[in-house]
Amino acid sequence: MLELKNPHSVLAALETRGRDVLEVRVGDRSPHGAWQDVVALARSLGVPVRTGRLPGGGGKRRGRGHDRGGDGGRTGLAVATVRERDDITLKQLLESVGGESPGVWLALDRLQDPHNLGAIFRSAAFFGVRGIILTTNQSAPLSGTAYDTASGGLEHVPFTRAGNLARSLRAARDAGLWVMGTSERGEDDLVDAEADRDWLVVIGSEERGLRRLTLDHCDVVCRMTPRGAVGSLNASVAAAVVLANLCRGPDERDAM
Amino acid sequence: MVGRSSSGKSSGQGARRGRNRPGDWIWGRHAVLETLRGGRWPLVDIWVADSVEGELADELRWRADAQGVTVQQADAESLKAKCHTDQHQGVLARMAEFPFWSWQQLSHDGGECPLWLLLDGVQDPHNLGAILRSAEVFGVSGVVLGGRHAPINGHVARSSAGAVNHVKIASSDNLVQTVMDLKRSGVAVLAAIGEASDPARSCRLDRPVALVIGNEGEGVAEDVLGVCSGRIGIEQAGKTESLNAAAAAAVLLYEADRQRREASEQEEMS
Repeated sequence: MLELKNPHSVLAALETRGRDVLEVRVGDRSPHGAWQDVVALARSLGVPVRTGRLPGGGGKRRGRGHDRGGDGGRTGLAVATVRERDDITLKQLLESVGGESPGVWLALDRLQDPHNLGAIFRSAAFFGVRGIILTTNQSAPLSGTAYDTASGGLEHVPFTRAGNLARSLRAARDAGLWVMGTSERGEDDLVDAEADRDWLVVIGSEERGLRRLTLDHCDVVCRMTPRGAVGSLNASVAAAVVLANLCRGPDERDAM
Repeated sequence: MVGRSSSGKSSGQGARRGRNRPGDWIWGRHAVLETLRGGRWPLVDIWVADSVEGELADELRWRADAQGVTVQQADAESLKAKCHTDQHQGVLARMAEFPFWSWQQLSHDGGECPLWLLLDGVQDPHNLGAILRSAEVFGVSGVVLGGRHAPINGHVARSSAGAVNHVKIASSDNLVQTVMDLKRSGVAVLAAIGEASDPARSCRLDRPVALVIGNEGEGVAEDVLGVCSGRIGIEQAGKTESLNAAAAAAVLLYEADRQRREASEQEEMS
């Protein structure tokens, strides 16, 4: 069960799967901003809304660690109890490969930080990613923090869990996806990646990047930073940069 | 936007003697050493666990000595009690206030074709750190923090992966004035905003440019937006409308860098 503290993640859950929202609890002060919308929508869907002191200092304006949904002071005024979203099978995730318009999928190779995980889902929703493959071992779980950081993005992008990422990458290639690894030491420049095909982009973990075996399954390994750049991008930021490059509208793609 | 003004001072800055908040500390061998090597951000004191020896400990000591910073020995448990984490690797430093550049100093350092990044009220320390990290990677001329922004502290330093020691960062009491100064010196100031904006790819970014990234919840403040030269957006292909501030900043910086590289390649060819 998830305790969500970002009104935007709660709103998205109410809108897409209202029956999974079990309860909304608001603090002593009357809710404002996006929480007002949450309360109204919850009531209209018959979700119980309770008022009273929140446990664990949740009524504080900026509860430590909970202000990461991208909305600063707006979080932490209330909480909602929400069931986790179900994952789907890899087969279902890859159903739209080879469709009329090209799409982008993501695979996250042992991402460690739930904030990065959530931020990637947020960007993925913005750029219309078709699905995300998550590793299960040594990986950040889809916790309430991830949902809240995704700010609703976790409700819009389907995901599957892979015990063996290499096997999933093979299956994805067999289904017709091109697999792109991302690395500071990549041989190809992201700029040159063809945007008119179905891509599966693999994002590595914060500390270690992509594993050797993962790299072996990539068709190309792209770098997104200029050669000679000092330092590297944060993993979720890197994902956003790749998606911005690959998820262009059809008009713009023609013009390139 | 009610209650927003561009003259807001930065809130709750840095470390003050006698107080101990997690944000006052930088921990980890690499992080502390990088800060000492950077030589800009003053340290109040350094705490080293008995277990830390060898070249690293030597360098820590002589650099600390050269900067007049005391190094104190302690056990791992008391280090943990100070910074509230056990990830300190035996090295902990208490930071003094972050030394911002003044905009006057910074504005002369942009070179021929500067790329500035203006952050209006970015409050989340992780976002701020990630943005500074991207700013370093894409070689911005400098970053100006305006509005009610997060202080630059240990949290920001960590999220920035040390970029706070390398990127030039100024704090502006009046971002409206900074934008007008920039425009007067021939810099195009583009506010990152979803509505009614031109997609980044159709904006010319291979000229003197300043990008303005807004607050996580409210975007760029109205008064700042009012004086910008234009609006720049990121093409959305999915259902949700908003991108996290750090993601948006990186996407725009990447595009600026791409255009600049392309322009210099063309120059070489001709």
